[in-house]
Amino acid sequence: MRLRILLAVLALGVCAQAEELTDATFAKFRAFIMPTQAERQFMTIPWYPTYWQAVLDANKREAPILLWVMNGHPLTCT
Amino acid sequence: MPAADEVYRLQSGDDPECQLFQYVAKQGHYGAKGGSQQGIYCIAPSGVLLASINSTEAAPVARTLQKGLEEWNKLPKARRLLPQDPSGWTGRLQRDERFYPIGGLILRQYVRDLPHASLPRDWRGKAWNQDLAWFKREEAVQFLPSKFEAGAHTLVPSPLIRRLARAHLVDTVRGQSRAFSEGEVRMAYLKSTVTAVKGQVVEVRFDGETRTDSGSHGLALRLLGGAAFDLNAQKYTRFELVAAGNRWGGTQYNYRGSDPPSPIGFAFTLAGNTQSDLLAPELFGAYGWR
Repeated sequence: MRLRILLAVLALGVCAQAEELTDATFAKFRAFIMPTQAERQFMTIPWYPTYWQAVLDANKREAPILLWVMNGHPLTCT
Repeated sequence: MPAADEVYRLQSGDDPECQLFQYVAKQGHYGAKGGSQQGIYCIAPSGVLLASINSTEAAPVARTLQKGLEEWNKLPKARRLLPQDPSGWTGRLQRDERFYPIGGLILRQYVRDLPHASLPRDWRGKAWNQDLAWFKREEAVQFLPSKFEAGAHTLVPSPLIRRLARAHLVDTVRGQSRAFSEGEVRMAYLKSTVTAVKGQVVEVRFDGETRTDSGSHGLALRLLGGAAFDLNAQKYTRFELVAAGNRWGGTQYNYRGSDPPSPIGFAFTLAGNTQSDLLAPELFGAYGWR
């Protein structure tokens, strides 16, 4: 029990050290949270956002499909 | 043609898109086994599998793509395409994008851990995630006070902020999580104050807090931001919202394990106009729009 309390205090201490979101720090927080250009590189691929849209177009153009599927859409939240 | 999609609906639904994917997946790396069918598939439009893999390593994925192309080149023309034009089946799809709020407010959302001493040095330390948030046209204007004069203020209607807390202010930094229930939202408010009126553009400042707690995980966040709304165009030309605070606990797939509480940050901004900006929010089921 003492160990759990100690860990909780330590954890809160870690959190307390974090800078607070204020009008003065808003831009800094926003810039840090937003992904960099390098992190968003995969989004620059002209993905069809659904399998079906690719099927319709590929069937017209007689082209193969590269389909990337994940639990959670790779272009939103995966 | 590169395409990306969400696998759970595809592997468990029964509309034409799901049925075609299930036909493909049975030929793929996991075969007819249960569990997630996630991965990378090279496919003919007909549903004939060319190659597939589930890997985050570049070299095996590149080999799979190469094999897929070779198989495509060998595939007889008669087996490449669907026997009939599939466009007539589009109306039968059961995608959440059917509920896209035309003329509404669409936000792109990002989330990541804020710096702290115990942040791991592996992939978890660099993890981030994203999503889209939807507000109907009539909801979008509720982020504004009813009087457009400096100093006028209002509390944004509770259901909107509670939905944001339930379905978007969720710890998905390292992976998927679940929406909070109504009862798990302990506090959620957002005050909107007019800071300036410049011609037909109303500028507002946002300030609020949310606290969610399931008993095993939760978040306590401060919200700050601002927006500019064009009264002529009846749309936002700027919408920025940041939420920062602490998260604790974890859920089945968000890779928090027994990590201690730690700081987390969210940023919302107007979505762009690409095809992917038309996708539905991950936790759309929690919206109650279906």
